[in-house]
Amino acid sequence: MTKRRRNHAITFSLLAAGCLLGGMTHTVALANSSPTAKTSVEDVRIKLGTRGGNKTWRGAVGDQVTIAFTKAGKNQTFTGELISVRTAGRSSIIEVANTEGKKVFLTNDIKSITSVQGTAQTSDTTLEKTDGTSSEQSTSSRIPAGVSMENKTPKPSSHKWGYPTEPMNGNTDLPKVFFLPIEGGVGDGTRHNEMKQIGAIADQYGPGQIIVLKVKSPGGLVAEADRISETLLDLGTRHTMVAWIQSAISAAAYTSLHCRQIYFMQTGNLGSATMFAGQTAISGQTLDAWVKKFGDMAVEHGHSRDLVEAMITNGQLCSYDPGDDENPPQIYGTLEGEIILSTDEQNLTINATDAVACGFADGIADNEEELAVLLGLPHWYETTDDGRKIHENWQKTLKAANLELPSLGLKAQGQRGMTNDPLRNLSRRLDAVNKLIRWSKKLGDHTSMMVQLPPLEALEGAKKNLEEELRRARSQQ
Amino acid sequence: MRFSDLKVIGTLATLTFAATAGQALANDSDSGEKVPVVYTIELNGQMGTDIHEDMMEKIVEDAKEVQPDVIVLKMNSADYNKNYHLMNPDRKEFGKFKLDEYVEMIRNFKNELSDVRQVIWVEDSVGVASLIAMSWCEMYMSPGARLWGLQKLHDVAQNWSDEDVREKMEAAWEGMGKGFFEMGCKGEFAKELGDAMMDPENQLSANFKGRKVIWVSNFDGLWGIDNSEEQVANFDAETAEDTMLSDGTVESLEDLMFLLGYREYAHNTQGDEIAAKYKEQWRRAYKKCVDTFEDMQAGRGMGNSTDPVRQLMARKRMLDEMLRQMKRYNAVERRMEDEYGLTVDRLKGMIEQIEDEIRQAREGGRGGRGGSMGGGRGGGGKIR
Repeated sequence: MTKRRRNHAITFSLLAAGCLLGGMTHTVALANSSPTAKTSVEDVRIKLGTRGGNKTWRGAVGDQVTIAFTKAGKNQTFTGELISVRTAGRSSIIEVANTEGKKVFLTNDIKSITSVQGTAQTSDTTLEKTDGTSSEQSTSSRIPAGVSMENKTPKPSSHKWGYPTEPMNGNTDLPKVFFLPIEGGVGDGTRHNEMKQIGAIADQYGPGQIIVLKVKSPGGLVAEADRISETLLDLGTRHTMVAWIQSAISAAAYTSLHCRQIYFMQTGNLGSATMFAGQTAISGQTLDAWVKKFGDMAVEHGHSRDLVEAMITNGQLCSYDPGDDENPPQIYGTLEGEIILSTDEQNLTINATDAVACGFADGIADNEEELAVLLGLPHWYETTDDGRKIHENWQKTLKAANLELPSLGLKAQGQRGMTNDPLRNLSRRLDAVNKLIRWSKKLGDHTSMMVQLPPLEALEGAKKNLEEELRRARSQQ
Repeated sequence: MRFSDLKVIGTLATLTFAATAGQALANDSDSGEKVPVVYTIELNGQMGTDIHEDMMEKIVEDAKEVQPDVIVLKMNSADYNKNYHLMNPDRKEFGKFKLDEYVEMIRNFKNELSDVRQVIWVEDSVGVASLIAMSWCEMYMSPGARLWGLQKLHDVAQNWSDEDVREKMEAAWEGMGKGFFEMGCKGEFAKELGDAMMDPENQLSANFKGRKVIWVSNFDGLWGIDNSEEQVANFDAETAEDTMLSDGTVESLEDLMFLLGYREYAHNTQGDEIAAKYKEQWRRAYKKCVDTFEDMQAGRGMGNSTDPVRQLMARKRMLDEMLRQMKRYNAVERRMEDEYGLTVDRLKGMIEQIEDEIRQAREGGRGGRGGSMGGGRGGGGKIR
């Protein structure tokens, strides 16, 4: 069996270097807490967002603070020790801990910060006076750390399979959360099939659920990206689709644009969406159509056309002005912005800080707890572990295919597992071809293409030939 | 019990007490307060083999038990030596491009030891090691240390003839590389620093706004770093400190600890020992693997027998031995793959092939159904 050339298929990305060198697919990275260490007393200034009246709190890491915030429409407070503060784009992520556990807050969500022991100062006035919850805060600010509070965030309990349950399970209007890691090339590790499966499970709980796709993919087949597009557009009509980006290159970037909410991991990257066939980038009408499709999808889901077009061709410029208290960030298809993202010689792959600062991404989360804060959830919970199981099962299948197929291919050609008996050899080759056919049906057309399995028709043809040969050989005996 | 026995016991008890007291003294200051413990890790040698995820995992487990106050990672990994007149780099020893693995390695390290202050101390870093060095927020350098960029990352994408595709590949690789800068609190300038340190076509200079450094992707800034279009941006200890990329220049651990605010400390070297042991072990396994492969290629170690089955069996034993070493140390597999194109899967295939040949040879020897080796090949039905 010779390696089949697939001129009929336009391969798109696969981030060739990565895929050819086998260096860009890996195991899923999971929880990771902030690297900021609790080390020494460190003066900090925390600037709140509009919910906090854009006030600034000054104090130090290690201070006892009360955080007032809103979750699920209810005012809540949390008192504990300020563990760390780190920037996440234009916001900051702060960690506060008490005897009940640690909570992570995004400054945009905080209504006020109050020092319990009165060590901190605010920039111009005390924060308690800046919003309508002053009495509640001043009360809570007197509560020593570790003492239970009103509207206390429920402590997560765990499913028997390990992930926390939602608060007050079964008696809440909080959305259900479904988590699907997708990992690998678009066409093999990243497919519409798994997305459809998790969508069907979410559907059982009714509309309005949250489906989080954790994306780690070097890109792949345009044809599969189109099927994914169809699936995600459909799911997006009734659920909130969230992309959590570890790496989304090329077709995986296109996939991620189908989600209105995009979050990055700290090391996340997204872009490099030049489509190519063989060694050459597409051009002319095909390119125009691709650029339009890409841009339309971005705009439909609230993302900038200028930004994503710079991911497709070198000629497309892109820059942005970061937002400030009065103005949102502004992305340009020119170089007029303060921060240059892509010149006429560059192709854009955007990283976490820029993605948040230009408004493309909604935040940076390195683990599920941080993502929960950004999603406005009281803590991270997963309604079922089906998404993780779907992912694991498919990855196992893929691994088995990659291990078994090369050997089966050689056997089918009579280059391995042969004996000195021609009849037995024919029988063994036929057996190998039958197994390849079973694999082809199991993997589907796009995955078969990605793992370099011959098309099903070719395998069926080979099977017929071998059966005929075997019949003849037997009749001659 | 005789008096002499009592004397021995007494001596042992005294020695034990002395040892315990010595240990206690090592950890306690004169004032009776616990002395902070610094746990050092020598990241010495080739990235991706000597400095490997498996080794770091062992260190993480050990450090979690030790519970130090500070961890100092000492980076000494350079693709090129400092003999610039007679540069004779050993390409086999260049850092491996396993960016995904390194991201996971660092993420895991930081996550598992998140409550411990972590500092990187660059003794010498050229190539992919510099990405690792950039992944920590606190960085110090030795005098004369290099913090050089990675030309090779850019080279990986140069095999593509189409300019658009080449640029796409570059952007994708560099996008991954910039993730390391993000991890090291340099996210705001990950683009400028990353572009300059990974892509020779980009320039780099810096402006100063108060104590803040503003990096720019051209040579118009107040402080020029790189105006070459053929070389990536390189820093030495001085330029890195001047531009506040490094927090200081230190000659010794004492210096470093002093700058970190510790006048006295206890030095735990278990991390260094684990790293050194790992390096020694995988390199021994690698040498064994290479020797076996070369013997096999040269037909050595096959015994004196001319019996083809025995020859094949000897060959299979050699392949089995190589497989064992490569499975034991992934670093061995990485080197064997780069140098001889051998992976665990490939070896398994080769072993399977030899098993076929042994079976066929045995069947032939028994005068079974006859036919030459490899009989049954060809003859229609080929899949195209």
